[in-house]
This record gives sequence, C-alpha cells and structure tokens, in this order.
Amino acid sequence: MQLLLNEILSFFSFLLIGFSFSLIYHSTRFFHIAHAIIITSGAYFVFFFTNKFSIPFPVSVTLSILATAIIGVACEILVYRQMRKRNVPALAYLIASIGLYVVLQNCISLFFGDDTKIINTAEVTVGHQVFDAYITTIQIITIVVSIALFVAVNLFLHYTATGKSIRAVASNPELCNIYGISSNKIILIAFGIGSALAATAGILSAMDTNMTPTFGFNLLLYGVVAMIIGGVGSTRGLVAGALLIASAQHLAAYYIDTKWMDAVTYIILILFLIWKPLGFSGKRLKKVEV
Amino acid sequence: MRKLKILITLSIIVFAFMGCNSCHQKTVVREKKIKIGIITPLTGDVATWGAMQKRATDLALEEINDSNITVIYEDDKADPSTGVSAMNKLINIDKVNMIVGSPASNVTLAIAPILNEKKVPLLSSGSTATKVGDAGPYIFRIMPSDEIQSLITVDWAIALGKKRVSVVYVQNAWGEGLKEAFLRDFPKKGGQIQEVYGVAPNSIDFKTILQKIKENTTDAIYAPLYPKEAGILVKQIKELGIESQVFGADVYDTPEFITAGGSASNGILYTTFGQYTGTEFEDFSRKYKERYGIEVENYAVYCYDAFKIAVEAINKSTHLDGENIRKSILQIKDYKGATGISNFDGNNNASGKTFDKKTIKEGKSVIIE
Repeated sequence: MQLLLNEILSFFSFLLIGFSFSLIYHSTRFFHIAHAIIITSGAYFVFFFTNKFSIPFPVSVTLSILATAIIGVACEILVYRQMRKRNVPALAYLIASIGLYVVLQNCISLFFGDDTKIINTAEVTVGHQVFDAYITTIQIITIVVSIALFVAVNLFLHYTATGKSIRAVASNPELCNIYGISSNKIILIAFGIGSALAATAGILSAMDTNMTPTFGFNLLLYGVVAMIIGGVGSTRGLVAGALLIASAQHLAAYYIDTKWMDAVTYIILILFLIWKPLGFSGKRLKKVEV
Repeated sequence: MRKLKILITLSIIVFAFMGCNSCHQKTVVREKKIKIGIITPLTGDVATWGAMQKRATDLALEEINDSNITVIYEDDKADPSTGVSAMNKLINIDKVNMIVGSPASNVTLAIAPILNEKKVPLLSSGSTATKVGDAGPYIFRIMPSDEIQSLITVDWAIALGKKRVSVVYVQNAWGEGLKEAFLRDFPKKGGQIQEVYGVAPNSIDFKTILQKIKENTTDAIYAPLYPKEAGILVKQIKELGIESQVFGADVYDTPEFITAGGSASNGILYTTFGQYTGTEFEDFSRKYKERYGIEVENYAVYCYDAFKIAVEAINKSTHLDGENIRKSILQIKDYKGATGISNFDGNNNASGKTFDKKTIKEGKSVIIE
C-alpha cells in the first residue's frame, strides 16, 4: 500500500512538471532547459518573501507563482523572441536555454547560498494513516493541487478561445499567423502558464523534500522523460508516461535496488526511442520538430 | 667601425650577464615565498564545509602574519573531476609547495595519485575515508580513519541493544568506506544486518527503501549520508511512522543537517571528529567568535590546525621541495594545536585522535558522555 502511495506521489510530480514543460515545448518546439530553474525559483521566491518580508505564507505563494511566471515570460521576450527574429538554427535555442539555466542557477546560489533551505517549518510529525500506509498533509495537498491544475489547464486548452489558439499555434504557427492569431502573443501565454505550473510543482516539492539551487533539474528530467515516452503533444500519453516511470522507479527500488531507480527510467526511455520513437500516442513528428 | 662592433658585442654580453644575475637574484627571493593551495568545496552540495575551511584558514593566516606566505583557494565542489582540475591549476600554474584540503574523501582519492607522482604533499583537513590512509606517501590527514568511526558506531549500537540494523549509505568513497567497515564489524560483535541500500547523492525520495526497512524488523538505521539527504531521510522516517533509532556519521555535525531535518533531527545519534577542550582550543574558539560572530564549528578547528601544521612543516623543512617537506611533516612530534596533540602514524594519519559521540537535542548538537 505504501508502495502504491509512493508511486502515486511520484506520478503526480512527474505529471505536473511534464505537463508544464510540454505546454512550452509544444508551442515553441525546443527544449527549454531553463525550465528547471523556473521550478527552483518558485520555491526560492516563497523562501524570500516569507523570510525577508514576513509575508504570510498563502500570500507569498501566490506572489511567487506570479513572479516566476514573469521570469518565464521574461526569458521568452528577452532571449528566445530575439533569437526567433534573427531566425537562428534550432540547436541555438537549446544552447541558449542551457546557458540561461546556468546563469540563473548561479544567481540563486549567490543570493541564497548552496545549502539546504526549507519553506515548510512546521514540526515533522507522523503522517495520516491510510490503511497501512502513511501520507503527510503536504503530500495530500500535492495530489489535490496537481489534479485540479491538470484538469483546469486542460479544460482551458480545449474550451476557451485562447486555449484553442495555443493548440493551433502548436500545430502550425505559420498558418496561425496567416489567420490573424499572433503566434508571439500565444507563445508568451504558454510560457506564462507553463512557468506558473512549474512554480507550483517546485513549491510543493520543496515543502515535501526541502530545496537546494539545483533541485529543479532532476525533477525536470523525469518530467521530460515522461513527456517523450508519452509521445509529444498527447495529454493522455503524458499521463501514461508519468505513470509508467513512477511505477518502474518504485518497483525497481523495491524489488531490485535503489541504485536501479534512475537506470530503469533511462532504460525505458531508450527502449521507447528504439521501438516506439513516437511514444504511446504514436503521432508522427513533423520535420520542423526534429 | 670594427671597434664599435666589438664594443657593442661586449656590452651586450655584459648586459646579458647582468640581466642573468638579476634574474638569478629574483629566483632566490622567490624561493623564500611559500605558496599553500587550499582545495575545498567553496560551492556545491557541501559548500558550508568550504566556508568553514576558508574562515579558519584566513584566521590562521592572520595569526601567522608572514607576508611570505600566500594562500590560494580553489573550489572542488566536492566533485572529483573539479578537484583534479583545481589541483592541476595549483601545482602547474601556481606551483604551490603544499596543498591543504579537501574534506571530500572522493576528491582526495582522485588527486592522490597525481600528487604522489609530482611529489607535492597534501594534508587533508577532513577526508576520513578508510582508503585515504593507503593513498600514498604524500597524502597525510589530520584525523583518524573511518575504520575507527565505524567501530565506535558498532559498539554504540550493540550497547544500546540495537541488534538488527539496516544501512543506507551515500554512493561515494566516504559512504562506501563506512558501509563496508560497518558490514564487516557489526556481525562480529553479534549484530545482524537487515537491509543495505546505496543511494545516489541528491536523492530526495527514500520512502520505498524505508518501506522495505519497515517490513524487515529493524532496531536501528545506520545512515552515512550527506546532510542534505540525511535531513530528508530522517523527515521521511518520522513521516512514515518508523521508530528505529538513526545513527549518523561525521557530516551530520553541520547546521545544514538540523535545518534540513527540522524537528525530525532531534534524537539522532551520530559520531564526529573528537573535540579537544584544552587552552589552545579555547583560544581559537574565542578568536573565531570575535572575528566572525558565530560559534566555532568542529570542522573549522581541524582546518585551522591543518593549515598551521602545514606552515610549520614548510618552515622547518631544509628545502622547499616536496620530498623535504614530506620528511618535515613526518618529523613533527607532538604538535599541540586546537585539536589536541598531532603525530603522524605509519599510514600518515594523525594518531591518538578519535571520534566523539553526539546527539541533537531541541535543534542543538550535544556531546554524549
């Protein structure tokens, strides 16, 4: 039972991060590695607001999510959009993004130091008992918030005009421009929503397992693997991908050894790339995506 | 015209000799300059240790107050490959006489073969891993080996009646050394090993391993982990309602562990470098507090002594080459410093020192006994 619960927790964490990443990947078609620092900065903003200005916790969480969304949007306006104007090759985005990650991560290290910080100062207590397993309040909040955000953003993408435009830009940006949808504006919105989701995931994770300036990177990696396994652009595929690696990791840890947790994840990734390169969804990638 | 040519040639020769002469004088002056390289994690996962080392070394340097001594800090991020480039820079570009440093055993082990080959002595201020003792003739350390640390934990667990123990260790030279020593010695004293798990640095999810540990009756968990992971581990132990006693090791002795573990860090038992309480220690701890406004950390005391021993060895050495400095270190007898008396034994470990037993009470670390 505890094993199942651990799997579910990892699943939601991968899902939320994979989803926030795919939202951006979808509309821009490049790996926004700096997304890792967006996850991290969400948590560090909360630390900053509550400790420096003693703003009450709920308010500072809201402020942090907003601030992080602004950073994400700033990355797009100041870096990526300028690059798009100059029409640079696709690889340049990836490299710029890695650079951005290193710079921002070092900024966080400089301001806050490299040691562990905590934003959840409540006394550590035994979790709530569910059958023979234990779950903490933070973990319950993580599950509830993840489900709520996942459903809400999906509804937004499918049933509002802006949401539909995001999906339209994702499928063909040039055609959208012809039809009068500004792809730049839509990409900006995607960055805003994606970053806000990532910040939320970062804050939840930091409340559960503390934070250091590099903690976002590992989280992002699993999210990205889930996205690739699931098939780019498929929400259902993402859910399946996240479920598959969450289960594989915990089962490997339980039945083989913890050393295999990461290895199993990447073995699955390689197997998928060889035999099912398009993921669960099986949608064919367009040339521009590669 | 010919005369002029001869004159010019002669004057060039004379100038060349003068030039050479002056440059020769310069090298003589330079030889008196002593350069000591410090390799320590100034950034990265255990940056708090690097900060302690820098504070202690700066203070020691101020005390010695000798303008011929230059200290060059290099960051190793507690990562072996970064450590190797830091060391290459120190010995090839800065041409240091000696290196003091790294608390990270994996860094010390990575740079040891090159230092032995280049004959540059290294005095480690905190690498406790067992293997460091056999790392070569030029590798010294100022504390005893982890063999002793592990044995103290073994006896301690047995004395508390914790006969069934599971081990969760970090996968690096330090963690593996402690694990191996523990797995070897614990059954000899009548203990029983339940589960053994190696975890990668930066792991954050121990819930599944803990579940397995919980299913196998375990009286205690021996967890040589870095403070960041250890903090999360003790939190998750508490959250999962596991009541086994946790035993830790020397790196638990940092404020970071208490921050990371929160209230779950209370009651954890761990071993760490022994603290000496003589006048030399009192003196240093007072100066440290005056200078930095914080209580002296245990590791800082070892850094302070390591640096001072390095300076003393170099000063007493007849020549400034590695071989003579090495001999000079071996000749140090009963060096009285803030960590007590230092001598170097056959394996280049400082002999006669041991580890203290400590626990955490209400967010403060306290010595037991």
